[in-house]
Amino acid sequence: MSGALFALLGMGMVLTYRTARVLNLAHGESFAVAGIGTAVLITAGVPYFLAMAVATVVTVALATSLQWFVLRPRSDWPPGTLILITLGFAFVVRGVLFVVVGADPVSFPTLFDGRPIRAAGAVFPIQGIALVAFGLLAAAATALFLTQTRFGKQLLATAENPFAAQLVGVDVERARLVAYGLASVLGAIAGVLLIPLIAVDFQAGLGMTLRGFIAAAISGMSPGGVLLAGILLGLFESLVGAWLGALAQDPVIFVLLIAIAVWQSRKIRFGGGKRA
Amino acid sequence: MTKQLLIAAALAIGALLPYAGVPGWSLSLATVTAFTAVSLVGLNLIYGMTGMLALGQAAFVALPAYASGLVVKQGIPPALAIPIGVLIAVVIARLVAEVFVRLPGIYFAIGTLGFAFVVEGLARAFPAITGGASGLVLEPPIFLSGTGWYITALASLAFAICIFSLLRQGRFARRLKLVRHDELAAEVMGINVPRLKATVFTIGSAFSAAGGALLAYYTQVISPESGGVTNSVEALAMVVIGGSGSLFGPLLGAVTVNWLFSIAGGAGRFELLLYGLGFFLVILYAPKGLAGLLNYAWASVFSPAQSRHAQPVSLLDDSKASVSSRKANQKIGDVCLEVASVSKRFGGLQAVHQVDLHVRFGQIVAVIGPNGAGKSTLFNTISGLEAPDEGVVRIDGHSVVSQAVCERARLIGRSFQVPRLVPDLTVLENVRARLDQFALGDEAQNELEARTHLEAFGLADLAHLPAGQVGLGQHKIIELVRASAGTPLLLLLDEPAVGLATGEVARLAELLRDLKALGAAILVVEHNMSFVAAIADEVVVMDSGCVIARGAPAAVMQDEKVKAAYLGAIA
Amino acid sequence: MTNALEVRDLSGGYGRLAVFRDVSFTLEPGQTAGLLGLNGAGKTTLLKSIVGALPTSGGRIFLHGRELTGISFFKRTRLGLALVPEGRHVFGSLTVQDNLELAKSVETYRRASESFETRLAEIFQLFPRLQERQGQLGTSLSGGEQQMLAVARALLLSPDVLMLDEPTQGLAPIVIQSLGETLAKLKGRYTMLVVEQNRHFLERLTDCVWTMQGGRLIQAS
Repeated sequence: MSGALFALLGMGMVLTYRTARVLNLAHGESFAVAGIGTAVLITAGVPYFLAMAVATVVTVALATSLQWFVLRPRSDWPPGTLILITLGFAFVVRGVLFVVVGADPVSFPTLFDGRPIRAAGAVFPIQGIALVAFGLLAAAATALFLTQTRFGKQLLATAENPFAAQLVGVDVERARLVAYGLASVLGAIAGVLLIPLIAVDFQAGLGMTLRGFIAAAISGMSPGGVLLAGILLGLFESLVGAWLGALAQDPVIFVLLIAIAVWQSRKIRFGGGKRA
Repeated sequence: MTKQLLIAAALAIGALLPYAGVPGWSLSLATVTAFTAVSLVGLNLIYGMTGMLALGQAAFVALPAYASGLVVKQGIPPALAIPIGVLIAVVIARLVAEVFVRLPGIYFAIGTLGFAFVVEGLARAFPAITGGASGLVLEPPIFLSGTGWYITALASLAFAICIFSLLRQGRFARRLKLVRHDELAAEVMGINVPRLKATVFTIGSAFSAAGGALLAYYTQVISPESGGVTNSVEALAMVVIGGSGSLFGPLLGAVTVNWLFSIAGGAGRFELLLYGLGFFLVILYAPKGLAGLLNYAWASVFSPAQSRHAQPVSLLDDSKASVSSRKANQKIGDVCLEVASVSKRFGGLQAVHQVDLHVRFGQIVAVIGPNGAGKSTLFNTISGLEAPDEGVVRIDGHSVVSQAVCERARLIGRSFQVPRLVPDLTVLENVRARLDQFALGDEAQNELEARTHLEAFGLADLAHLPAGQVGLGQHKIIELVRASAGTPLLLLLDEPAVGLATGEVARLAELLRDLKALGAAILVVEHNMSFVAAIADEVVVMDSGCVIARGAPAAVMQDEKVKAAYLGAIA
Repeated sequence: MTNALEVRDLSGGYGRLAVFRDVSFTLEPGQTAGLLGLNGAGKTTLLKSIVGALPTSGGRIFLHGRELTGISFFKRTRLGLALVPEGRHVFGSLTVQDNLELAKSVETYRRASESFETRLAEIFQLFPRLQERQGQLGTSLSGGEQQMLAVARALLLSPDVLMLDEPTQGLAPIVIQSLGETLAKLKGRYTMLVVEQNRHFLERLTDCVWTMQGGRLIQAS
C-alpha cells in the first residue's frame, strides 16, 4: 500500500523537478491539504464528494500559485534559494493547517465500505485496495501521459531543455504550470484516499515530501522508473516494518536514501559546472 | 567607531532586559534564547558563510544531550559526561560530514534532513535506551540559580560570537566565500573543497553541540523532537530571519522569534504559521534578514553620500607600472608544460586524439581551432578537471596526472572564459585568492603582492571595491591578475580577449608580453587572430580533436589545411 | 513588398556586457544571406536576441512588418521565426519521430500549405537518414544526424524566416557537403540567414555574405 503512496508522490516530484528544475519541497503539502481539507469540510457538514472536490481544487490552486506568483518571476535565482522558498511555502501551509486543525490527527469516513478481504494471512481493507488501485492507476496514467501524448512530450521536452522547447514553439511557462497542477492532483489523490485509513496530523506533508523524493531520486527522476521504484519502496518499507517494528521504518528508509544519494552523486561534480 | 559603540550599548541594555519587566521576556526565556543562539552560530557558519544547506542541525543539538544522558547511566558523573557527550556528537558530525560533503547541493540538503529524521526516529524507537517519546531526564552537575544560568548563557554566547568573528576575517573566511560562490573556481584556485566543507561542518556542529548540551541541562530534559526535522528547519528559519552570514544574525533571529511567540500568548495555534510566514517573507524580500535591514538603515542614515556604483575603469588608463617588479624566472627556455600523446574520449566522441604540445618558460603558445575541436577538453586535462585516457601531462618535468585539481593549482594559474569572481569580496581579496591557498607569505606580504599585481595592470583604484560593483569588462582583467598572482609556473588563459574593446586587447597583449619576459609559460586559447598574431610565439591548430598544424603564426595562417577547416572566415 | 526580416540598430549582450552594437540589416523574402565572423564577434548572441531568447538593450526587429519587441521567445517561433541553434539542442530522451512531431505544436498558429503528414514525407525525402532512424532516441544519433534533425525540425515549423547558427560545426567534410546541398534546395522557398565561420560554405550557398567583427555588422554586397 505504501508502494502506491511512494509512486504517487514520487511521480509528482519527478514531474515538477523535470519540468521546472526545482525540487519542490512543498509537494507533500498537497497531500496534506487535500486530505485534511476534505476532513474539515466533511466535519463541517459538506457532502462527501463535494468536500473532496473543493479540497482538491484548493490544493491545485495552491500549487499553481506557488509556481506562477512566487517561483516564475524568480527563475533566475540560485536553485538553493528556490528550494528554500518552497520550504518556506511548505512551512506556511503547515502553519495554516495547524491553525485549522490543531495537533490532533484527523480523518473521515472511508469511501469504500464493506468487509475487508482476507488473503495470505493478512487483512486488506477495501479502502486500502482502492488506494492501491487508484493510486497506481493514476501514476501509470501520468506516466503514459508524459510519454505518449503530444502535450506530455512537450512537458518532457520543457524539462530536458527549456531553450529548445521554445524553439519549437512550446509555451514553457504554461507547461510548468500544468506540471505543478498535475503533481498536486496526484498528491491530492493520495491524501484523499489514504486519510480515511490512517488519520494524519498537520505534519504529514513533510513525510510525504520526503517519500516522494526518495522514490524520485532512486528512479533517477524518470517517469517510468519512479512507478517501479515506488512499488519497490513500498514493499521494502512493509518488510522493514514487519521485521524491525513500525518505528524503525523511517530511519531505515532514510539510511537508504543517504546511500542512494551518495551513489548517484558520484556522477555529478562541482556546483559551478564546467565549460562544455 | 560610532557604530560599534552603539552596538555595544545595545547589547548591554539587551542583556539587562529580562530584569526590566519587559512583557514576555522572562529570565528563563532569555536564557533559553541565548543557548539556542549559541547553536545557531554553528548553523550560521555552515549555511550563512559557506552556503551549505544543512537541514538537520537539530540532530547535533540533541545528540550530545542524549549521549551524555546515556553515559551517566553507565555510572559516569555528569560533570564528565557533558564534555564526553559533546565530543561524541562532534565525532559523529565529522563522520557524517565525510559522507555528506561530497553530495551536490540538493542531495546534501535532503541528506542532512534525512539524518535529523533518522535521529528523531531512533530516539522514539528505542524507549528503553532513550526514554522514547517522553524523553530523558538530565540532572545538571551543579546547582545554579536563575541568574547563574543566565550569566552562563550570556558568557557562552559571547564566547561563541567572538570565535565566529575571528573566523569571519582573514584567509579562512575568504576561502569560505569562494566556496559558497563557486566551487569549481575554488578548486582551481587550490582549495580542497570537500575537506574544507567537512571542516566547516564539524566546527559548526561543535557549536550546535555545545549550545545543545547546555540547553538540555538547563531545561533538564531532552526529547526526540529536539533533534528532529521540525526543530532543524526552525533553526534555519531563525538564522535566515536574523540575517544569515552576519555576526549577530543568530542572536537577532533567536531573540525576535522567541520573544514574538512569547508575547503572542505563547502563539498557540499560530506559532507555526508565523514561523512559516516570517521565513517565507524574509527569503523572498529581505534575503539578508534583520541584520541586513539594520545595516542598510545605518548606511542610509549615516553615509548617504557614498556612491554605490563604480565608474568602469577602462584599461586604457595610463598606469605605466609594468610587471617588472617581479623576479625573473631563471629557467627561460626550458620546457614547462609537456603534453604527450594525450587522448580523451566521451562516450562515442573522441574529443582529443593523440595531442602533443610543449610550452617553454618565457614562451606564449596559442591554441586555435573551430568549436568542437577539443580545445577546452585539452585545457581541462591540463588543469585536472578531466583525466586523459592516454598520454601524460608534465609540468616542470613532473607528471601531474595523479594530482587533483586543487594540488595542481599551485603550479597553474587559470582564467576562465566567463569570469568567475566572487561578488562579495573586494577586487583585492579576489586577487589574493590564489596566494591564500599556498601560504607563500604572511597576510601582509600577500596583500602587498596582490596590490602590486593590480598596480601593474593599472587597476589599483579598484582594489577595495566589491567585485560585484565593478564593470563586467574589468572582470576578465581581474581574473588574469588573479591567475598570474604568485607567479605560477604555467598560465592557462581561456579566451582572454573575448569581450574586450580593441584598445583593451592591445593593452592585454602588452601585459602578456611583459609576463613572458619574466619567464612565465603561457598557454592561450583564442579566436581573435590579430591578437594571436601579436602575442604568440607558436600557434597550434586543432580540429576534431587532432592537431592539424603547428608553427609560427604567419606560417600557420597561410596553411591550406587550416584555411579550409577554420580560417576561411578571415576577411 | 515587406521585408521578411528587418533589424534596426539592434544592440544587446549579457547583462551589462554589450556584445553587439547598432546592428541593422534587412532580408527580402526568399533571400539567403550569410553572416561570417569569428567567435566573440557576437553572431550567436545576435541570433539569440533576434529570436527572443536574450533581451536587447536597444533597437527594433520586424518580422514581415510586424514588430517583435516585447513578444516572448516561443511566440516568435509561432509567428514564423525559426532558429537552428548552435549545438543542435535536440531532445535526446525523445525519438526522432517525437522530436519532429513536436513541431506540430505550432500547427494552429501557422498557415501551412500542406498537411503535416505531407510535409513530413517531404522532409524525409530531403533527409533519408532520418527516416531510417525514426524510432531511435535522439542521443543515439551521430553529430551529423543530430544536425539534420535540428534542421528538419525547424523546417517542419513552416517558418517564414529560418536562421541557422553554425550548422557545419563539428561535422565531417562529407556531411557538410550533403548539408550544403540540402540547404541549397531550400533556397527561394524560405528566407534564410546562415551564420558560419566557414567562408567557402557560405559563398557556395548564399546570395550575399556579411561579416561581423567586434560586435558590428559589416555588409558587403
